[in-house]
Amino acid sequence: MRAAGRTGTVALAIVLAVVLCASLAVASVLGTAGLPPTAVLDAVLARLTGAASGLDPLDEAIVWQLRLPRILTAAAVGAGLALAGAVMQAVTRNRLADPYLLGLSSGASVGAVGVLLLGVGLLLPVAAFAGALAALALTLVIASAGGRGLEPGRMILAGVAVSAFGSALTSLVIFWTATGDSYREIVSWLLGSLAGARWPAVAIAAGALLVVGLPLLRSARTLDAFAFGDTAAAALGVPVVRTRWLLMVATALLTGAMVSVSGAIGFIGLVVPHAVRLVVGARHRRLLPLAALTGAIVLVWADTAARTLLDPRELPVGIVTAVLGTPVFVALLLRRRGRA
Amino acid sequence: MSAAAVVRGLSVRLGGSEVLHGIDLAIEQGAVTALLGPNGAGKSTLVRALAGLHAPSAGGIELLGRPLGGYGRRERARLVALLEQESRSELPLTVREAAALGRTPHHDRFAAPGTGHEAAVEAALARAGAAELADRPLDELSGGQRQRAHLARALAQQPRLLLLDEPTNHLDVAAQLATLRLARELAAEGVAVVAALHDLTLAAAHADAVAVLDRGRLVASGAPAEVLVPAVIDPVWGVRATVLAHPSTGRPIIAYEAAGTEESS
Amino acid sequence: MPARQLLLPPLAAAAAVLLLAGCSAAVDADADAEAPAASAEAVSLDNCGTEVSLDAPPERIVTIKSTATELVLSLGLGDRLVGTAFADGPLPEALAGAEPPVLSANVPNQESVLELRPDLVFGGWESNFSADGAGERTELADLGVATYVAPSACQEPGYQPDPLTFEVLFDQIREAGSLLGAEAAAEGLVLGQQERLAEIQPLDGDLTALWWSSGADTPYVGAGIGAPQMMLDAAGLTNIAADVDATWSPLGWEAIAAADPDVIVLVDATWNTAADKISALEADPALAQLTAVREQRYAIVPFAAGEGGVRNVEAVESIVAQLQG
Repeated sequence: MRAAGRTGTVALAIVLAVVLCASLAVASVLGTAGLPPTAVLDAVLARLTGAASGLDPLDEAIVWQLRLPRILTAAAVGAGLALAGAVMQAVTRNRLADPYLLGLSSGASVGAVGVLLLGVGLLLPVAAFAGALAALALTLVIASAGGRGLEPGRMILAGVAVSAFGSALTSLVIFWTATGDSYREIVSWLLGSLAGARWPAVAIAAGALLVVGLPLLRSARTLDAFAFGDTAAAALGVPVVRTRWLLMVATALLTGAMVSVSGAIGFIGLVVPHAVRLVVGARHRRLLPLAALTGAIVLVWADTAARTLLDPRELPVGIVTAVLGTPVFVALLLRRRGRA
Repeated sequence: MSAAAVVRGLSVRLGGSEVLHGIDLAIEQGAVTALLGPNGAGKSTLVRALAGLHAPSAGGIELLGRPLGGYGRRERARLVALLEQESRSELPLTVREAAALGRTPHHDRFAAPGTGHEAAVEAALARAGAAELADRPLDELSGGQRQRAHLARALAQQPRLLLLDEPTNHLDVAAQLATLRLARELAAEGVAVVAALHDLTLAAAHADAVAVLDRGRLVASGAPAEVLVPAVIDPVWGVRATVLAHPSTGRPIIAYEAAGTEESS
Repeated sequence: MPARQLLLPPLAAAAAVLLLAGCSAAVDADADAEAPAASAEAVSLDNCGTEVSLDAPPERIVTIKSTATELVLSLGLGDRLVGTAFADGPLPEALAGAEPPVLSANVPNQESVLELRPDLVFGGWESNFSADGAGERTELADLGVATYVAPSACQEPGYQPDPLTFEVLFDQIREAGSLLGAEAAAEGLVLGQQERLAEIQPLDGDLTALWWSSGADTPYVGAGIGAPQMMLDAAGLTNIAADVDATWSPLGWEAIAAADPDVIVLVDATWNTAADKISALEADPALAQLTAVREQRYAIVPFAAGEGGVRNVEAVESIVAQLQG
């Protein structure tokens, strides 16, 4: 029974990984350009082996420069957001927490409007990341003022305040400077979009996932210890304040990297950990990797829908995740109430 | 019996006011020590100080001969377990998962849990009487059942010093007795058990030693029959107590009246 | 004798009224004789679902957005312009020299508009008339201020031109002329534009085109029923987004790459310049493969000329000239 528990997790992880690979394969074949699967395969193989494919260079570019980086970024961002969301929910002991809790997304949006509307001369991802970190710093300063350590309740409130401030600043800049139809671009960013993801975006998202995400996976047992509150965690030997700081900063770095690449895609970080928890329980050794894999799969499909449903038009993927995520979230809530 | 923990001149300040003043108390191994006192006396604070959760403003605590502050966190957590009054969780853990948390200080930080850990969890669940609840989620259980789950967590830590902060609060009589009987069994196995309790008679029936706190000070400590006398009880709790001896065990049974009531005899 | 006494006051009053009417008629006639071809008839029309009525041509006009400003100036009504706002770029050469008073660089608020005591506010977009903009149309009407939205910018299905053609555009110019009391000027303007349009030689070679207005990750392009489509048709270009039933629409780069347009029309705006667009295209490993990018076949159109207005014919001429050869 116990051993089955552990291998059960591994089995489930393998299944999800297979589903993810299959999703990536299918997504690479779907798109408005209507390329046949053989063409896609040719393009990929040619690039990987260095041989020439028999394809028109534009078709090859569509596959290799537009589609592939986009779906890989979707997978990495989905995994990162779900992972960040699960960690945030554990550290704040609040199931309504999401990765943007500490004001990260509104901080990033301030950076984004700075570049898009005020013409600040930074690369958009850099400015967004810087904005997210600034918001994090502000939240942590506010939350820890008074020297009681990072108490979850205060962190959430500080995050709400910083989020509101960041949103207000963003709105102010949009309102003040948006000429012509320039607001369209910032709205698209605010909703979250993977349309601009090329290979550098893949590097950033995957890199953040490896550098920050993997260590987070190993904090699973510590996250479990937070389940019953600070006192219980301390009594179990966990250095509560220090651990909380570390986890917050790590989550913020991970989320900041994702947001800088794709804007503030919502619902993945909130709903995926919930749904996975319902199926496999709250032990983080199981929850974290499975939530990450599920998040990747969900976002790959959401992005595929966003770029193919309204052929030839495109939706920002944040709209798709919101449209899908809201009923799922409501269903989860109702199920909770039914049980309790 | 050597002391599991020795409290010397302990004072603790919380939120600007001194909650414990100059407590001197020895907690013996293999014995059940009951902490008694009215609300606000400082029982919980003393329990948590013994768990290493409050830094003393004066004095100190020795655990197994070494200063408590000298232990690393995990090392201390392997020796001392705390069962709090209230343990709420937002996350839907099962009883077994909650109990397994007790193994946290024993885990090698990054390794997978070994079978030794699983056996300890099962044993703790059985001991706490929570084995048949093992796969149920905590939020479906009654207060008493949840208590058993958290007790299993404390037991899974395999502590030398077990601290119970008002463990009988949510329990019916049978469950209260079961909890304290378990405390006695653990004591018989060499564990030092400290239980903060409200019920004087229950404490008297099960404890080897009793310490009475009043407004942060230790008023009396010793064997139940010596400490639980009207001269101690009346001023501390503000009642008129009558102490009788249990017909079979000889342990004190305490009956109360409100202070100032006319005795009807 | 009593009857005459009864009749006298009313007769006197009637005589006074007739006298005054005669005087004012004479005054009006004099005024008419001096004003340049001004109509004395009241105008009432349905503009984007709102009824607009003017008893006389407006004397104090406020315009919002370049298309409105340029139309009013092109009709020779610059002296009646008391405020302009939200310009999308500098005035075209033809109107250079006119320096209409600037009210605001962005959408003005209601108070600042009312401060100018306009009798007509002419907006280039429907959204200019919102509570936090120039004011709701009904509210302004209650305050005695008529409002007019460029008909090519109406959003509602019954009112949105579907599709916008030059004939429809010219009718809109005529309608504006009748509203502003400058019908003759409008007719003259339309005639001139029709002549220029007729002289344009559309590009041959069956070229396909992308009309890229703004946006980077997801471009906002001219789609099937709006001003861009109208201009591309006149230039002899086939719009790759012609099937999209909208005036403008976001389009995925993949769809654009699949269509691989022969030429790209780039809208040049201060907030999103054509030069930036070209840099973005050349720097993107996927988009650099587009035929139009490799061969550098671009045509640049200023933003104000990209929406329905008096500069569209000129824009078509420019596009053809830029892409010739």
